[in-house]
Amino acid sequence: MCGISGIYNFRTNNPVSWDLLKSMTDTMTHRGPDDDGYYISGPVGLGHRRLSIIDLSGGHQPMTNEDQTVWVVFNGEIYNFDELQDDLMKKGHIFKTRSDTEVIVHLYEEYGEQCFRYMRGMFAIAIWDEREKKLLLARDRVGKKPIFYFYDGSRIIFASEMKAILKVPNLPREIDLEALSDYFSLLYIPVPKSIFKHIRKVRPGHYLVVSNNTLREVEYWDISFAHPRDLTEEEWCAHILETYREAVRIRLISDVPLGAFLSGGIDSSSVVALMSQLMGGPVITSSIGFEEEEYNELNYARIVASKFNIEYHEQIVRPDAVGILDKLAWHYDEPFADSSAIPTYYVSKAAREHVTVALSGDGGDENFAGYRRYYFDKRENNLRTLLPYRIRRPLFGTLASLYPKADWAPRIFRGKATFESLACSPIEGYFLSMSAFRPALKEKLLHPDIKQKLAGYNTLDVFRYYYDKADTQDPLSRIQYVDIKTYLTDDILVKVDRASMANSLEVRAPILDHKFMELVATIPSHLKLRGRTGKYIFKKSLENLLPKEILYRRKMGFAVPLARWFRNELKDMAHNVIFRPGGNDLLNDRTIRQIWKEHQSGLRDRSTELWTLLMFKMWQQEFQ
Amino acid sequence: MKSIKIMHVLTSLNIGGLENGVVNLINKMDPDKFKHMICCISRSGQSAEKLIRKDVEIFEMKKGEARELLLPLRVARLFRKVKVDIVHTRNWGAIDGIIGAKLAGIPIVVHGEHGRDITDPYGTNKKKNLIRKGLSCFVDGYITVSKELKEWLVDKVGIKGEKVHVIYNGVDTVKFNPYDKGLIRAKYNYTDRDIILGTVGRLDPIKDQQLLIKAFAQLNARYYNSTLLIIGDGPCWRDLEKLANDLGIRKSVRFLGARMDVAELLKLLDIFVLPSLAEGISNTILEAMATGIPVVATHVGGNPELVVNGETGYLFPKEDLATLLKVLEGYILNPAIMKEHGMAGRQRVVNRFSLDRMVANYESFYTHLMMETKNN
Repeated sequence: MCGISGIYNFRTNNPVSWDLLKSMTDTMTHRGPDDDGYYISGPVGLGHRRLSIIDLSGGHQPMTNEDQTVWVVFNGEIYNFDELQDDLMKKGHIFKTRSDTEVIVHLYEEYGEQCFRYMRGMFAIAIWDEREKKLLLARDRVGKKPIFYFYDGSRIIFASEMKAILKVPNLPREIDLEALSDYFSLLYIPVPKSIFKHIRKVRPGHYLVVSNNTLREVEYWDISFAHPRDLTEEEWCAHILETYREAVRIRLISDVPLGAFLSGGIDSSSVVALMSQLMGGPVITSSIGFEEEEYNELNYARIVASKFNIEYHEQIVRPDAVGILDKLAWHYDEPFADSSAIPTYYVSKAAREHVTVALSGDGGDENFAGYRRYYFDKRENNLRTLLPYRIRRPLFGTLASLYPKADWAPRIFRGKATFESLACSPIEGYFLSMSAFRPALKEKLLHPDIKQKLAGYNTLDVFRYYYDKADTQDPLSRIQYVDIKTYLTDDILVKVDRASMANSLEVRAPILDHKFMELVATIPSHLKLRGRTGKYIFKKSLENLLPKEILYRRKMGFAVPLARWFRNELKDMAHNVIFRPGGNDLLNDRTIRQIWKEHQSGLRDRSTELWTLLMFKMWQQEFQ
Repeated sequence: MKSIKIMHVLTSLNIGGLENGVVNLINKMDPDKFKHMICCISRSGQSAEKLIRKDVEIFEMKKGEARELLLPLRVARLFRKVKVDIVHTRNWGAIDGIIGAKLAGIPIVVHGEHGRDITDPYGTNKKKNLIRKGLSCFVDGYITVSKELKEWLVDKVGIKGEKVHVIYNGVDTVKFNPYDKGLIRAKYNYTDRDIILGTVGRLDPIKDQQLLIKAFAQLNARYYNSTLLIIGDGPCWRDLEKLANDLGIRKSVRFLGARMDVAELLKLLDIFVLPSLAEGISNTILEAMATGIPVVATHVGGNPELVVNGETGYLFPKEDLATLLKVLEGYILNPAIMKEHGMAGRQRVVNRFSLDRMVANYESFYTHLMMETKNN
């Protein structure tokens, strides 16, 4: 794919240094090994590293318009660029190449800031408008492509990866304590924060505008669950399949070899099945397996491979966790502790041996409520509704707040605490189910000084914010909304982007096509999660496509045998890194020692906590 | 269970705090359990119409300026036609709705008091209170937005206490949030080292901003990196500017006028101050709390119901310059406590004054009334 970077000294108007811009851009060579390009004009500079996918010759960037007043650098794919190009030609625009980058230039000329609404795909775009002296930075709707930026009121410095920004001399590198606290709960750092206080991430579905010495952030897209539609199951299945097929079809455009990941799960299998229907030739698939049987999904991948026209590649991976850890820490820029980054890295590496572009099944669980935690949340909510109506009502309402006047309420339910915890428990329950370090343990982990500086900050508020922002009262939809805005953006998509870019592979996710997501958001909740079955309607719509044993198998997830690793092959190295002397005024060593002991003695499985600590320490080695 | 049909009666839908609250409430209530209609006594005024859920019918009574004796009859005709379970009137302007509802034989009538009229700021108008009292036998339940208003209904108007329920307004905790403060500071050319105080409200004697300016003048002499932002417009602008000039702090006091971007500007503040002589339930206090800023406010009206003294901010006696000064300086010297109070304020709003909470309270209030009527 590509990497973008840039500098705009808007207040001082100091000229941008070519050497600096080049050294920033060079840190991202893995993102774009094929070509690089720069545009510098006084206080503005744009840089680009390119991986060629479409129009191998004509897509050099930065790209400009006829009179050189608009400049664009772009990382990503606009899948509907053909249609957009036709429309723009009818409106009189002249095109020199067949590349999606040039379409962005003319879209901006035609529609100004509204142009991002017309794009269907994944993107991180920087547009410099010479006439208006305006810089735009836009990120796609769900955040498949990253943009980090540093902003201090007099200049903005941005890049696809944070390591590029860190090339700038004398940049403050103060740790963002809220982000630190978030990381130990969530395993990742939610937008717009980053681990450094002065570096932020552009939010998905937003664009930044830097002009007249100020910065604005505008939301151009949000997903809405507000209007569920009342259709029969057959109608839904038809709609789902039709839109899904189209989302896959438009992602098959490429001038280089294209294939797919195949895990044997529903999502990736359905992508492969649709591809084999649409492509004519065989689909090149890549699957990986582990030696540990309980983590192995290859049998399922083979079943799918036998049903379709597929050129099937599989690899048994003996993860050299020790060997790739520094690599992971370097690629991820920020502390990142979702351990499925390891298999994702290996499957990207395996795929890159055969193709440059791979389609993946990411997003199925978020869209169709496939995670087990949704079921647990639902069960918890049901428990609440099982309380007799006459008892529950006071818990939620005025009449309890009238206490002690509410003499008709049973005495035990008059306490404010019970009442408040019940009134806000769905999101809190969800937060707990997502926490790596449980709140109490996190309290003990963070150094007392840090706790004092955090001044009562609570990571739960990140979730609560989105829970309140969702435009629906349906509990499941609200949790899904939170998931799409947090876990999907900052865990899943970060994981896939960095792992694939580390191997110069482009990954496309049809299930995260925004038109498809918008359709799925209008499906009533009870068709997504039915009883214990997640993704109910999605499975139903795939019944004619995939074999039953694939559709109705146990969900596995992309896991690695962490617990065992920490007791065996990872033990020495992890111990050295985690207990490296010095440089630790952030965490409480006593707590870390206790967690390590608990795990090694086999008393408890503390592998998630240890992995979180290990990745944090690795990050510190790499970037601090 | 069949859904409950509610008719909301208001003067108009021109956007203000009250109307906004109604729109938020309707949009967020469970659409399966409740169906809504709106009756505007004058004209709807369009502005809120766009924001409201599509399935909500809006009726206009087109009442003119003059007294209209037959208005209740017209209202009653409408109510009879659409057959609702509950009529919910709000404030003095919708009082005709109560009579209309009774004439139409609507089973349940609810009346809400959302803060007093400019023309009657302390609710002491005898004639109006007599009418309120007289109509109370037709009203099944009252809702007020603060305890203080409830006390007034009970003590001054003479409504039975058990009929009156307090439901606080919810604040939009999404729009008002504590995120990205550093960025906003950079945008306006401030840094972490600046101490920024601020207040939001009409520039009116009742808001007593001059007390804040006097306190700030003394602080500014000691802490040169301090700034005071005054957001709002009103008759006192010139006097306040002159006062700042006379005290020699014109450079550090910024008058920003009435603003649409209050949610962003609040993020600049370290401390929010509200020195009013009288207040209902102040929305700006809730908004400041949601932004995670400690609130220093006078001990008047509904303020003590919002600010927890020593936990989410401080309350001081009105016109008490010395105490205000002491509190502000205490915060400046203890930034950690300042931040802690700010976050505690946000948590308090999220737990007790969120939109969700307000909606849940209204829902249970309506269902409770329905159950009671069924049981009787």
